[in-house]
Amino acid sequence: MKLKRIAVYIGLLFIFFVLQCSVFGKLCLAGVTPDLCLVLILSLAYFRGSSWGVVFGFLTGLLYDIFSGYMIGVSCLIFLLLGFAAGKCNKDYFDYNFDLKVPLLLIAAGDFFYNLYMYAVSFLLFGDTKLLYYLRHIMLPAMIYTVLAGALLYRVLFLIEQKLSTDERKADGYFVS
Amino acid sequence: MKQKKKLKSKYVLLIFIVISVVLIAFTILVKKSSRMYQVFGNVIAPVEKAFTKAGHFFSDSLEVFQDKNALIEENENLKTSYAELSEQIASLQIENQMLKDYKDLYQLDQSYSQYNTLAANVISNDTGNWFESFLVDKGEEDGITEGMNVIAKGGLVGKIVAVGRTWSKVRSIIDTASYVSVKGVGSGDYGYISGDSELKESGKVRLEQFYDSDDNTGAGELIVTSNISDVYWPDIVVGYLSDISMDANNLTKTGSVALTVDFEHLRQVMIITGKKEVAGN
Repeated sequence: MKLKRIAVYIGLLFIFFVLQCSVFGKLCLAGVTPDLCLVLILSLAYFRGSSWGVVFGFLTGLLYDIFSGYMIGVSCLIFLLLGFAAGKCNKDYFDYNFDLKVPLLLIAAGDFFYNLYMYAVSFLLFGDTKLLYYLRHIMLPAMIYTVLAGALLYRVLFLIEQKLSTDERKADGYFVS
Repeated sequence: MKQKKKLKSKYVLLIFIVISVVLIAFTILVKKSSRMYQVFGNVIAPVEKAFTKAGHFFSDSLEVFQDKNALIEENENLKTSYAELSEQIASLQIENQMLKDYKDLYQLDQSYSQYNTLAANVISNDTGNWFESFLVDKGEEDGITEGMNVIAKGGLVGKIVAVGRTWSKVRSIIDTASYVSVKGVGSGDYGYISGDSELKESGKVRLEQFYDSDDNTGAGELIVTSNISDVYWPDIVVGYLSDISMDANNLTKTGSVALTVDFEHLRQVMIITGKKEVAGN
């Protein structure tokens, strides 16, 4: 049943990635698109813990890097670190009651660090020091938009997670009320 | 048991960090990774095409409900500009005739319209908010190769940087990593344009290292691709010079160029099928 979970996650990653590049690319507010894949990784890490966060962070990063064709491994690094960090919150905060506070905080912080990192490796390294400009025009709007998208998508992901874990426990022979 | 699990996730983290760093080092050393990119692209491009079509459908149906007053006002504006334009056309026709005569005289046959082009639809944007490139629905099967120029209604869009079976990727000239050699039509002076994230929002790009030795180039000058570029065909319209100022070195000038292509609403582009052949390329 682990296999089923992995298949579902990979399917979700594919759908989120395609949505982000096509439909959400057109629905941009204030010139930015939300980082949907980030919402997915952080949610999965929050549900399942650090190891899952690292592995799926790495996969998502790989998809990003291969597709944008700049340098392979750069996004992998940030996504797996964020996945690891979000996974660390799993034990302390996550139970199977729906709660938006922690995941949204994670998404906001995660998106901010992701964008800061992207600025550092693809602009600051090449001598572009207009951090404040990027902060106002890309990082903050992207963060707000991602949090908004996250508030909606987290609900869906939470339902999927509930279904998956119920199925798994049934398969293990537990009865659930 | 608990101790064991804690160690495990740490090790996973470590292993994948090492893999990422190795990958980064590998791409820096080897430079090209297009094989993997193509495999992924072939899977993803058709799906994205469908999604983008759906997106267009929604945005088109929303446009139907536009404000009536806005439309009336627009109509009014269009009427006045129509009158102005028809006057301009009359005078331009005369000039055009003169130009034709000159061209015949010099036997210039490298006109813009004589490039063979292939129309392509934009099917997706880049991942995230940091780069300016997009995919189009023509690829290897349609004879597209890397380095071909891409134009749209109005002028230069960019060039092909990666090709898959049925899709290809275009790096647009507003990307900060893009450099294009250009010249001013009137003065014949050369310079470079490159994308700038701040100017991008007002539809402009930065003009750099512009050698204007006679100091005769001012705002409004038509900027086209230069004949000394090793990627771009000459005389493709880029835009109009919007401002210019002397650099601290007192030799070159820096300014900005207002683009004629509307990058915000790019749906269809044309690919010039034919690559500029240059010695050593």
